[in-house]
Amino acid sequence: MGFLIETVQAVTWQQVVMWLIGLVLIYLAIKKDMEPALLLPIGFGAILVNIPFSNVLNADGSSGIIQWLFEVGIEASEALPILLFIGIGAMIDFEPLIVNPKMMLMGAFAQLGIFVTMILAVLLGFDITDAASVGIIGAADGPTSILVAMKLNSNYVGAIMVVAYSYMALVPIIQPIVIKAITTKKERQIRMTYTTRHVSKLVKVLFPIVITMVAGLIAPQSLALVGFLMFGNLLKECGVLNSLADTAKNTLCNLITLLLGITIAFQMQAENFLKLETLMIMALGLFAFVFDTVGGVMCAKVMNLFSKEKINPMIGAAGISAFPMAARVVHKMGLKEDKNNYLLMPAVGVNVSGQIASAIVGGLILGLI
Amino acid sequence: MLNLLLAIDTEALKKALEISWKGMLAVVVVVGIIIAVTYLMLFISRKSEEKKKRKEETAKTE
Repeated sequence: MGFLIETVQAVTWQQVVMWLIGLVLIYLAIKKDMEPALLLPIGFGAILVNIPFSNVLNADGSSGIIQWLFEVGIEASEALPILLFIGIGAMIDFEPLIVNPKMMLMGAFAQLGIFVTMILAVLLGFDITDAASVGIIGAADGPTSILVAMKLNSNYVGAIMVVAYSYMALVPIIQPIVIKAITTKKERQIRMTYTTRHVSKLVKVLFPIVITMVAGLIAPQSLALVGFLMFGNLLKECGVLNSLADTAKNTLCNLITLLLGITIAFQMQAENFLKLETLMIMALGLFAFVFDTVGGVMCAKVMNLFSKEKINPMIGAAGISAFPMAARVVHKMGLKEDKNNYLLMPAVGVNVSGQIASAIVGGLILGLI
Repeated sequence: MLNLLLAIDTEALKKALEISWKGMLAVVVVVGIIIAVTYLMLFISRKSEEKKKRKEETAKTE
């Protein structure tokens, strides 16, 4: 009868802790509605890969299904996170950004946290590749974080992925605190008028092509991310591939999200995950999000010194890539301060610029290391 | 505290600082170029639309 309890006897306390972590992630996904599309598969996967002799990892000496998905979809080609960018590109409307291109500066400065965190991680003893991988959590962009951490062969891929997605879900909690700390009530009440300028179809079609070329010529390492993001957007804007654009933003996106979450769980095996460094990565990830928000808001404040039409500095915080959550947070904060202050469209403009900037920074880091 | 400072990998720190300034500069340059090109595209498209409108109006009056 020993064979019946063989697996139970092999369970370690570390695996039990991972089951609990998995359950917490599932709870957050279902009860708190925090990035459920990712946290639920990651949480369930964390349980799956931490059952002794689990054949999702090793099946009679060959790769089990989750290990195989990880090896093929992420380790070998980073295909899953990159393909996800086509879907994201097909979802994004760049019009609020094209109407007011200078908003893009805030997206660029909202990447500050990535670099500040990288320096701090080095000071805390991480080597440069791990420090850069931890810093990129600040991109607030799951696929970029996965790609950079994998390409740099980081030892903490699992922790980085989970922390990146968890903090993205926590944007509505983290950002308002930071924004309030660095802005005055008067600044938060600045009204912004959104000018609905007509953007021609030609400009909308040229925009993704131009961005791809500029980003590629200066930072070729960012092409996989920026290029696929812009390819998705070109599908949407060209007007002749509507069914492909629909497939990209719905079917493709859902399919990859579904597989990505459970594939990431491969990195959540107890022996890789339960380390002191995981706690440090959680703290550094938070630091990165805070400094990204500070970078964006401060950029808006500096821009206000030079522009006649005042910018509400809160919209700078939307420069982190978490789309469209960051824009929504800023819009809600604006309404809280002044019932008639509608910041959604300017914030969306900054938010999509953050999406582009974070993909560029991811590529730049890969190129510079 | 001194021990902590001595334990810092100065080579890695130098590299991190170098990546940081180069990375920030590069992203600002890329974004700056994108902003300039976008303004240029908007300007050209506005001009061409105005031209088109003017042509249509003159055709109507004729």
